Amino acid sequence: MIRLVRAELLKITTARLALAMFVLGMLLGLAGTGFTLAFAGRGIDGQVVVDAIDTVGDARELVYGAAQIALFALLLGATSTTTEHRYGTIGGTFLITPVRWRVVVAKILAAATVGAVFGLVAALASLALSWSWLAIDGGGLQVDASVWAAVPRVGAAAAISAALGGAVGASLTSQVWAVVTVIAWRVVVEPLAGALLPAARPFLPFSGVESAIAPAQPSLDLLEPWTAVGLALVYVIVATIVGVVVTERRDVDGR
Amino acid sequence: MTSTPPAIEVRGLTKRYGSVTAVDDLSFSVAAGRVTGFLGPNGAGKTTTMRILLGLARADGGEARVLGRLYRGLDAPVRSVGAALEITGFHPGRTARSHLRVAATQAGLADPSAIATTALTRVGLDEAADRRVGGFSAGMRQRLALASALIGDPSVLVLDEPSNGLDPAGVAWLRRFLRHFASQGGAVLVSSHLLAEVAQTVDELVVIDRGRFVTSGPVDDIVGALGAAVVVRSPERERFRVLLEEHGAQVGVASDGSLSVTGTSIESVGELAAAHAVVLHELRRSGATLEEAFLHLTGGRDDAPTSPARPGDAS
Repeated sequence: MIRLVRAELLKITTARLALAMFVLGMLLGLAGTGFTLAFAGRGIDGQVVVDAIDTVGDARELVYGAAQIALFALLLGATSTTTEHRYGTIGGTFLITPVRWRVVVAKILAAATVGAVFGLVAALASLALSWSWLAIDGGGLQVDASVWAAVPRVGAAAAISAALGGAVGASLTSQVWAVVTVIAWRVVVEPLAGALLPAARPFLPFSGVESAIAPAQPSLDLLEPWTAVGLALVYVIVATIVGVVVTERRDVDGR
Repeated sequence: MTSTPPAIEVRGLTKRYGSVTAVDDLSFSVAAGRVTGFLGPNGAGKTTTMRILLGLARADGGEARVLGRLYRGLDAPVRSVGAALEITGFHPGRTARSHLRVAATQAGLADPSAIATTALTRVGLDEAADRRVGGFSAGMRQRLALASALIGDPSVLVLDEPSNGLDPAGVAWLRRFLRHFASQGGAVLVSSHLLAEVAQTVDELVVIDRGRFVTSGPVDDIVGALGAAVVVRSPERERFRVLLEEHGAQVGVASDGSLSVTGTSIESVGELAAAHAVVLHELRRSGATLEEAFLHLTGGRDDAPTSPARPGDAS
């Protein structure tokens, strides 16, 4: 399994799509952090837009804000499993490893690994930018162990997103449908479901579970972090099983 | 005493797509040390058969084995079987070297970079190793597909239309390569619609039509069974004619003085001449006989791309 995951990582890193998503996600994330830092404690027409950043909790929120990159990790996961179908390379992959469930699991593990890297780098970059900005500004960033602990939680949130995206891609195989489905789910279906059924919101994969792992905006109705991790793993496992069953049953018939 | 299984064995294979039967109770085998051509008109079921053989599609009946085992049951498939199918593609943004490194890594082969370099050199793509595949010509893609098939140094090759896109030099190179591979004990199953090319490359033929087995055997036997002739020119024409007839061949004398021999193979004619020290000035098959045999066996349906393809059959 390790060599399969290594091969899948090689596939991701030797194509340019993952790099493009990473760069885009980082730019957007750092732009958001920069916006927060630029307006923190400053007023526009006498009104404070963003509260001043002067507590450990503020620093933690800046790190958790980097969890926005999980959207790009989700897209990375969805495209990493569907790219092989798009370009017809899946036949060659199954010729080398004909036991297909191993390929699907390796792809999802590889996507989760790259997603974790996305999240960790984004969180550290956000922390570094905030620390530098405030130091230059004459202030300082209050950092304690809880701030550092937020970094791996952002990595975990992005890893789970990437794994879910990978499992959806394994089930749908069409790259366009996989991307449309994950974006529609995250941007339309979950907010709508959360508004219509508030009691269900903590259990929704992204706005509930992922937010509980990396809570960019603290909310009272989120699950406990470890409960959220457990539920996230259940989602990933169930989605992976669906992806495996679909992949095992489908003939490879080219593009 | 146990007998060695054929390199490839297909038994009672059946595949249906809805109401269409793409492969119908098909059986044949491929021996080691031979290049076997897999012929049939468009939509005959060649690619579907190969896909089932390689575990890419499920059979509705029967089975296809490689080296005595189902493909999925092979311990290290790329070390046993090298395959290049038209349906397998390449990521256009990846270089040829990266493609092979990924494949070698996935296969668990030691030193994937060295394997990629060796395979690219073997197929003459070393100068394009670091170019993205998106910019490759059809012939270069064909060579890369073959390089992918060779990374595990397999003993069986399954190739679907491997000469498509190759220039004449590439076709000649492929022919030499396949002959050499078989001479080292390897088994080759190769589908092609280029009958003249097949006639020069393969030892055996398996002919299918509408998913069903039509015939199989040595090329000369199949062509000879149709009454195709071997043309012989010799300064000792009469002596050789008598010798040929004594060995069961039917011999006619053409208007240009050459002998037209039927009922035997070209190899047998050559061996008979050598055994009796008969000087030959010419020894060849009469032209286009494989094509004639093919058209006869498949009821005159030609292999032109305009023939309607069946679901799931790319060739």
